[in-house]
Amino acid sequence: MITYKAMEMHTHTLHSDGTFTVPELCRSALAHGFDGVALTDHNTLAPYEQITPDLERETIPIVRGIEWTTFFGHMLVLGSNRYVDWRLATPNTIDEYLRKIHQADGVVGIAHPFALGSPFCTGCHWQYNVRDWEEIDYIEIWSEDFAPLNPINHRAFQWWTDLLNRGFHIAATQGRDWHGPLSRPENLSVTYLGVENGIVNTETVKEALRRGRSYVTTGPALSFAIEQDGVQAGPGTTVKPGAATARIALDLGTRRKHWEEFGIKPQRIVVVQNGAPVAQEICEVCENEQVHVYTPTLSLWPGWLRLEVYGDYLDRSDTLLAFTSPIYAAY
Amino acid sequence: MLILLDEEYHFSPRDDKTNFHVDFSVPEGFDVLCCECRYAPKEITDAELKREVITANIGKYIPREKLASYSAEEQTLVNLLTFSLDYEDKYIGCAHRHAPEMTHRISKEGSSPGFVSQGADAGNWHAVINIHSITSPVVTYSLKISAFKKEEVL
Repeated sequence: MITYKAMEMHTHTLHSDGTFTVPELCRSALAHGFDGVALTDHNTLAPYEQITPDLERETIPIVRGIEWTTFFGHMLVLGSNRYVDWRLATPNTIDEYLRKIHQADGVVGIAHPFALGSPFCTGCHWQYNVRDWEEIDYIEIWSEDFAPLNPINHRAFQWWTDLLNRGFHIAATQGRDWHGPLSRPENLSVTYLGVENGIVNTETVKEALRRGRSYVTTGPALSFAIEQDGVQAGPGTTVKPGAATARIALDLGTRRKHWEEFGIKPQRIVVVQNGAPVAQEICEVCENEQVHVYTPTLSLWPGWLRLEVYGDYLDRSDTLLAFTSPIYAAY
Repeated sequence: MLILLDEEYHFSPRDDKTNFHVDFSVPEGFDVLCCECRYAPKEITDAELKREVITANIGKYIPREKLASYSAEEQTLVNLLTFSLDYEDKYIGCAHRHAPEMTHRISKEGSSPGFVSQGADAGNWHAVINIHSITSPVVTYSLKISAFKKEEVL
């Protein structure tokens, strides 16, 4: 059974340029209501030496990762069973290294693709010439805190949409790019990953990303599935074109204490197919509900479908609050 | 104690986004490696150069309509060189931090942050200076690598 768990997918410790120790990071992630954390220090595997069963038992599960902090792009690499050298990739040879990471059973996500690049932050802006997009498992669409307001995230969302329109299957994540204790209240968005039996570990997280079972939210938890012939299919799966019913639920209770102070109020639930809205509900009653359900009837075309939720955020209205990875439709 | 390497290298913007490789050998009988890394300058303080570089590059990342609100004076521009290390075919790690002066200790009992535990075993070692960003006309990088016996380091 697939259960969605709240993850922080991009973090750093003293082993690179963070200020957390590994236990401090885990305790902070637990305190912020996460079910798991991906440890992705820059260009090093050294923090793994500090992961112990006791630490994970006392705090939360830790996903073994690394942030390839190269001159031409930053990549989150999770769960490789052998080291692949980050220093060798060049703009036109990146596919070779993506393949090597996959041969080592790792998964790959592009981090903050539209951040300022060289000479402000070398490699922070994605400049690799990926030719085989099948080698990219996910993209960090939302980066840092207060993600809905950040222009680099708006560009990443559009870029991802364009890639989906070209037919690629790529999951979406967020990442705080968390380097140390928070100095002020921050709205941390969350990646929910659909893991087998609700178990969070490096292997189940990799499988969730490979299968595209993810969604990103700054507030409410979501569920999104397409029902055809009595069978429900969630993000990452492929359904048949034709008539279908969407099964959508907004859960306003989960992790609420972590986001309610930021004026988050869902107002519109939109189903987007191949980049265009195909169903929408104005949910004025959302605020006082624990769970809001919406079941529109759809006519599916080959391509992809995504759920998007818009609403109030801080002092803004009609802001993107949450979105899912796609469900795909193909004959 | 044995000094294995004590060199000074000079890099320029032509070396930007390259790796500079330094091979060295460790003889038998040592337990701890000490890698002293130092480079300067760190920050670009030449206001004219800074403005010139920012103006030439910021448009690559910020949409034109938002450029007017962007202040070059408020930006910090730095050189960034990191240090990574391999022993034979094993990647030991990297210190991806911004401090321009760092000393990294490598030992079986535990290494400095960023590096896995690894004794100063005899054989071929490979240091790499990862030149992420150079804006200054010249950056001077000093690298001193020494090997110690256990009883020499407490």
